[in-house]
Amino acid sequence: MAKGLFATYHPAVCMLFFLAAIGFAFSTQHPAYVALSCTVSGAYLVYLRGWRPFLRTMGTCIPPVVFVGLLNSLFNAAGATILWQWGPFCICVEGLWYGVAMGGMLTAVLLWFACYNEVMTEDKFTYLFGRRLPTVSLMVTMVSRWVPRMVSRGRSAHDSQEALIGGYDPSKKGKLQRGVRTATVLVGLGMEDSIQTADSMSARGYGSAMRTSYARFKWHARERVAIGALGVLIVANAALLATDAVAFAFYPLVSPIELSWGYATYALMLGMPFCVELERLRRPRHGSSYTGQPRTRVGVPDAKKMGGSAT
Amino acid sequence: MTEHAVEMRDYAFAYGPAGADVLHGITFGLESGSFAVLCGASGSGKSTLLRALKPELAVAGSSRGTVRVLGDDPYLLSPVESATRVGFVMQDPENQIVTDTVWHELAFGLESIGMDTQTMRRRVAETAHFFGIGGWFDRRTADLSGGQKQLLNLAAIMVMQPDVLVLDEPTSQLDPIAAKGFFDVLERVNAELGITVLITEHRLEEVLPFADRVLFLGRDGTLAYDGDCDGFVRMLGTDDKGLYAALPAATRMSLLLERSGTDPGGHDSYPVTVREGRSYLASALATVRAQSEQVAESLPAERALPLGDVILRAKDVWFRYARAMPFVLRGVDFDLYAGRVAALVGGNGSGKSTLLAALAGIRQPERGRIVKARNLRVALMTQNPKALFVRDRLVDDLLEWSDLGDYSLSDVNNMLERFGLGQLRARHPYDLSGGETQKAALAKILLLEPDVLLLDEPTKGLDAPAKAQVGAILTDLALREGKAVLLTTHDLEFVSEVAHTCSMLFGHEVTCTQGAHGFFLDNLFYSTPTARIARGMLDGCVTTTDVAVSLGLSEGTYDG
Repeated sequence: MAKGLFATYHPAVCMLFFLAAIGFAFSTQHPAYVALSCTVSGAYLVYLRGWRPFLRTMGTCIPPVVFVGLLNSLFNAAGATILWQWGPFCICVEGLWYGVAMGGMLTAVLLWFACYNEVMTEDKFTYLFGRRLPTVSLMVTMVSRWVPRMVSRGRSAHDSQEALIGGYDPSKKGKLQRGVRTATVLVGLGMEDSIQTADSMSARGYGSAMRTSYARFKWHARERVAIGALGVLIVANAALLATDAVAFAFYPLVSPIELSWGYATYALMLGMPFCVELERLRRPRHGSSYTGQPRTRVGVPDAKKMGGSAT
Repeated sequence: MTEHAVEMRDYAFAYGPAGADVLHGITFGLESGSFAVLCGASGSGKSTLLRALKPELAVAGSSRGTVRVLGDDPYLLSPVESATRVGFVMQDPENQIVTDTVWHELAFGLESIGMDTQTMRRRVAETAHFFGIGGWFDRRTADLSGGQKQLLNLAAIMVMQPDVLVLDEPTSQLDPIAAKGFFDVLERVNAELGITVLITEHRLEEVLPFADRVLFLGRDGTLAYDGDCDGFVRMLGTDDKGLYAALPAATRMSLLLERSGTDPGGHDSYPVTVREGRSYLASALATVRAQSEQVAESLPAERALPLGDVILRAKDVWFRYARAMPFVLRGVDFDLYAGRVAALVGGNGSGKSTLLAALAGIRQPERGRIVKARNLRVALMTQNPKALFVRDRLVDDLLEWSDLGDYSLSDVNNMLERFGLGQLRARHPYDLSGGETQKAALAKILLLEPDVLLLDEPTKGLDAPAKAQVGAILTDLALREGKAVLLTTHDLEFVSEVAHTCSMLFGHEVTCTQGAHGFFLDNLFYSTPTARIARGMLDGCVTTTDVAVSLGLSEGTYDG
């Protein structure tokens, strides 16, 4: 449960959410929207992985973002309020704003991808697309098994070679030659390996019927509720953006930021992973006196009755 | 008449229509629920025979005769039927795994045959439970140990609920403890589920106690024996087929006593386990003592030779693979002597391979140092000897380093002859058997004329005759040519026969170094089966030969 409740939802729900979050982050530069997207994605990443990884991610994405923002304001002279001018270059307030918004947009997208990586692990991805593309998904999992294996194979081949002939020619050329030799050995070993893997696959009926897919995930009522709510919010936000209800322009003058219901709708959609945490608050009526007795009307039969009927 | 689970009648196989028969006249039937061991020398066609039962894996060639699995011809079954009726576990734990996670590997076969999700979940769950996989169900397959991998391979096949389980040397790549664990599970599969098992294996010590049937494939490709274990042992005893060395220690000892006429009698079957061996030896000793007052009972001489010069020394070596990781070697002191064979034993992950790498100079210790003469040539053979070969023909491959090592074709030819590989010079190195690969790798290394040979598990996957050959070569290299040999192994019997000294790595340091003979006498748990059998009854016995010597029997032609 370290990753929060949202990560336990059906992969389709998570996938739809990230598609929406990343899609909307790309499609508007409205400063309020950008700020919301940045804040929520940042908060979610902190929630998922803690402060340190968050700061590390920020550390790697801030410099290029600042660079892009500055570059834009330097070369885009469409603004009306000039701050500073030197020959053909001029920096105007509007350009700076635009740069900041663009940088923020990129940051939000990067942060959402970082969250995506945490929540949408590879097995979820293969589960989602495995049924549509069984061959591709099997290939993905085989490759992800194959890569670490080849790395360790390569290391051991390299070691055994260095231990025998490494001392003879320590020059760069010698090293290069030995590198080529290691690669040759790897190709040979890899072919041997794959013949046996192919045997193992066909022995277990690979290709004998239409492949099905092992499901580790189920649809519950909460998945239906979540995907319904998500759908409604996506449509609402898209409509608001498409009808220019929250239009915004940087040039020639930065438009004033007006309060709008659109912000709340957007925040609600992005805040989905936090909203589902509210489920934790659903406790039995009388606080601490939870005894493990079933509270619902259906289901679990009475233990005493079962004992009684057995005797 | 009961229907046989597996049946072959007059089965014959040849690699091509014109080729000579590799197998012929094979006729046998296995009752449902039996546990059968198929033995035979390496290259006798065991794998070919097993694979004939599984059309997907059958070796390409031409076959004659009848094959039946549960009364049907497996070659006429539908693909799904064929995949599920016979389960097949192969040798290499790594290569059989297809996917990246344990749960997916378990589901792979069921996905392939198109099983519906609900049934699949249930099958996977109950199988994981039976095999005790629940605890590592979510792990990545790359992170599993060798033993876990092979257990997963077995489970991934059992999940398809086969009627017959065929295993081709499933534990040859595992250490003894993992192998024991595997056999215990296999025994449960047979005893608790009643699955028919047909297995080839050269660890007869482990597998004979479970087996109710032994099939023995002779060198001529016919079935030379088909019956129970006892008859098999009796046949080997009277008609040595080179498999004697593969028998359990208790069985070998009783054959030896029987041969020399000191058989106590009164037992209806040959002892197989250490416990049976102890009770057998006790009654044999009573018989012997009653017969003659003066039983030789001369203590076998401690075979320790005086140690020579130290030519390679590790001094207080500390090593770890990364700063963030724990130390793999903690203050290891170790001496290697010229002209002696030293063995390094210890559990998995105790740092044996790392110590070899440090001695070979490819891992720099973080603290401490390796002391050696400047021009000393140290050669290391890592665990997968196949990684040494790059050419298509063995002879070309051995010539690869002729410039570096300054040797010629005639040297290569001599070396091939010396190791008995002359016939195989034009073979592809990957097509050699386990023992041949090991010998070819040794030959390639020896052409570089090293002074020190460091060998990481040179006995892994070898059958008894191949092991004996490698042992003889190593002894020869040390005693005749004065080379220092250090080997790691899990095979304690091999150590007791070949090594002069034995060191044990535990807790990332060398806990003791002793003459190999004394080492096993002083250990209870970590010792050879013979030492366990003879403990307290015949002092100083570590190998079957020791037992013979101490009873004053002729050693016969058995050991070595």
